[in-house]
Amino acid sequence: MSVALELQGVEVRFGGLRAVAGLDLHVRTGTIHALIGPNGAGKSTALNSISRFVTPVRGDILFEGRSILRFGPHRMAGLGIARAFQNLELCGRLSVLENVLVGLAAVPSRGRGADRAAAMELLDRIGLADEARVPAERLPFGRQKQLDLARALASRPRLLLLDEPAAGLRNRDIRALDAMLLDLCRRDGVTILLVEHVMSLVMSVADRITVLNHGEKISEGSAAEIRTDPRVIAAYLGRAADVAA
Amino acid sequence: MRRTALAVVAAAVVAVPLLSTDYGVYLANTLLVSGVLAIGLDILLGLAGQFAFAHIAFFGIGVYATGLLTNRFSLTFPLPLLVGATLATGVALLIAIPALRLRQVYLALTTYAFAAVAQWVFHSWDAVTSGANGLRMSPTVLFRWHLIDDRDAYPLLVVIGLVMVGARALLENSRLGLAMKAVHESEPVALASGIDARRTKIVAFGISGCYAGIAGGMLPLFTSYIHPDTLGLETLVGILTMVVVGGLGSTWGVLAGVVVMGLLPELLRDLQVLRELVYGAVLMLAVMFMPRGIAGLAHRSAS
Amino acid sequence: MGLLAQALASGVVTGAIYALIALSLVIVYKSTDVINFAGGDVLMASCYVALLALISAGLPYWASALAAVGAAAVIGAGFDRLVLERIGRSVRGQDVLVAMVTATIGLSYVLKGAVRLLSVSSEVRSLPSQFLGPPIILGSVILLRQDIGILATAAITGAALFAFYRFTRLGRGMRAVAEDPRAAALIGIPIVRMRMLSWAVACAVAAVAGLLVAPKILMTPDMGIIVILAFAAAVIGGFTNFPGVVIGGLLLGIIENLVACTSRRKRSRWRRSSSSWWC
Repeated sequence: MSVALELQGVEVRFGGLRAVAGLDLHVRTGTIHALIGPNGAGKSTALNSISRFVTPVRGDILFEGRSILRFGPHRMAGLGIARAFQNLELCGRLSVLENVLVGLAAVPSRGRGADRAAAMELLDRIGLADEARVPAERLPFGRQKQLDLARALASRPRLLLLDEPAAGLRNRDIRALDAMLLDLCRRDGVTILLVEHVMSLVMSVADRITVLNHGEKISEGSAAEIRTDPRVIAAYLGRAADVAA
Repeated sequence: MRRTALAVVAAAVVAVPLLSTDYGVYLANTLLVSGVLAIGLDILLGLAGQFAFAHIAFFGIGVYATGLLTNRFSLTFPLPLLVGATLATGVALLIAIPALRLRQVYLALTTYAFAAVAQWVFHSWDAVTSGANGLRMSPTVLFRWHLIDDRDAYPLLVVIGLVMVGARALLENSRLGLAMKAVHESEPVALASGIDARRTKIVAFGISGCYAGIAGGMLPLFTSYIHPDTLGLETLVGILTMVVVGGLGSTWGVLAGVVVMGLLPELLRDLQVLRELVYGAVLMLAVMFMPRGIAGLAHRSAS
Repeated sequence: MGLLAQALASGVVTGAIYALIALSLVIVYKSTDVINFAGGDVLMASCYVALLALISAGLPYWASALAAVGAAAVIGAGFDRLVLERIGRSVRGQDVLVAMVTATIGLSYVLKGAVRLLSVSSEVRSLPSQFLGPPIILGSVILLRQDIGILATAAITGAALFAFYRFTRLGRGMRAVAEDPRAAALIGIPIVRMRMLSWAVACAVAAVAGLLVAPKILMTPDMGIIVILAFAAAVIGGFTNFPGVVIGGLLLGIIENLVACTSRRKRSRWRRSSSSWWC
């Protein structure tokens, strides 16, 4: 199995703080890989360094065998890496359709009509087609997160980076997300790197899980292996029950 | 509703030279120039969301370049205007490249400083601009004709205005326009979607500068004199007021703002002392009570 | 040498005034993220308040000065509370900055327009200096009492600001709101009131600068243009750092005096209206 994404000793610093400390990571093509860990473990920072919103002081990041560190964040979509955001980041006053069209920016245009049709198709898939003309900020929270995901998918990425897609969602929506991620991975062959706190989602979709604490990898393996790893349980302390769930 | 509005505007445009006094035509000409200036400023401010004050300097470059080329070489229209617009665009791009490295506040301050320096240059470069004496500009040459008065210039100005409004509409619906809106709304989303935010802003700056340069080139079509004092912050604030009162990001709103704020001083002419006071108050009240300007009001009453 | 020392001394005096105005701008920027384009006009308006109090109301100087500073504080607080607060609630995202800065431009015009309505503004005036007496001569440097007074007042104002922000509960609260409004709100600091107070303090500081500079220059409703140099001082100083801004102001004052005294070139109208009142 080939490796889609490889992190080699990546270190990210904020002032004196080492947010990510020498992280090695291999994400295999066509899998869902989850990055978990307590708050402040450096998961989001690791994700931000892959989408090039932050630059590591040391180490290298390879996508499909090529280093991406010399590219700026706006080059990622064109290379095949898309990301969704943890906090609601949308073009709030633009319409739902326009938000998806923004996501098409990295794809060569096939004309205005074709672009719109492609965007509508995506909206149809996530069930937002009826709200296409509504300003994005008017959508309920869960729908806004879906829209963010749709925007990310518009560029037809081979690697999708998701930062807490389930945060704030109701159980019903989490189940839908679960199905959607699996569908994306199995049917469309998208590799997914997922940072997530909602363990039920992680345990059900992730092929492989990496656990971070204080910016370092403390464990890696399948869901079953992680669940029983004493180091993981120790790191989560009071949340051990949550992991086991 | 929309069709009626368009018909009314078209009728007004045709009626001006037929029915109006000379002064009325002159006023319409200045409104057309303001309109192009305001739409250009709105591309930067309302579409791309960049707060910069250099617009008036690009306008000045357009005026002087066009005026001087006509004076010295008697070039036929539209060559001087095109040279002026190119020059303004070039300077705008040159300014944008370093200035856009700065965060918003510094961008505003740096471009403000640039506008002040440009005005100082217009004022002091005697050899070229005739400095504080102002510049006399000879009538525009159009092939074999000379445009002498406001009525001669009006149809040309209308055509330029229409072209610029049309270009704005094309931009609105293009990928570039969408990229500008995305940068305005959320830079992280724009970047993550593959939009080069920096390049988009620089292009917005250039297009905005081009509009200002063209507006500058329109002025010598009907005026014969330019003084550097009119190329200062006051004029820019006037244009900013039109954009803000009309509604950032909406072409029709901005044009409505141009008409309303452009005619207000005429209504206040008997109250010269009150002009500044009223202007300032309108500006403050507009941002307080009409956050999306006339365009927002129209939108609300329509829905 | 003597010329240089003189330029340096005069530069420090003008620089002190720039520094005060720049401090006013920075206080506003730090507390509300707004560039106050009306800063110079608040200064101008408060000078006219002092002039009115002195001439029309016949108040003693100290009372007039107090009235000027008080009026500036009221203008600042009122503007923040009535205008900026409202904009902050109704405008979203990046357009907030545009709307708020536009509002300060509006305020600038309102103040200029209002002052022009006063009959005193049609004649050129000056405020009387409070520091009279023969100049003091130190070697080759001549120091006007007025300049020493300006320097002392500016220094006292600066020190008072520093002490206020450093040692008083209120000052620390205002600083906390400027640093991180969300955190400040969480620990129960009333941010709306603190912002309003910041505007009041900032405008009061501008008024002090106005009272210091007005005896040296001709008062006109356009004298607020001096704010451009204060912006430059603030930018040199980094715009958010108080000591840096003071140094920026002093530096700018010194540089300008050196330039003005070494190359006395033809002065254009533009220069006269904005910057060359010290030589």
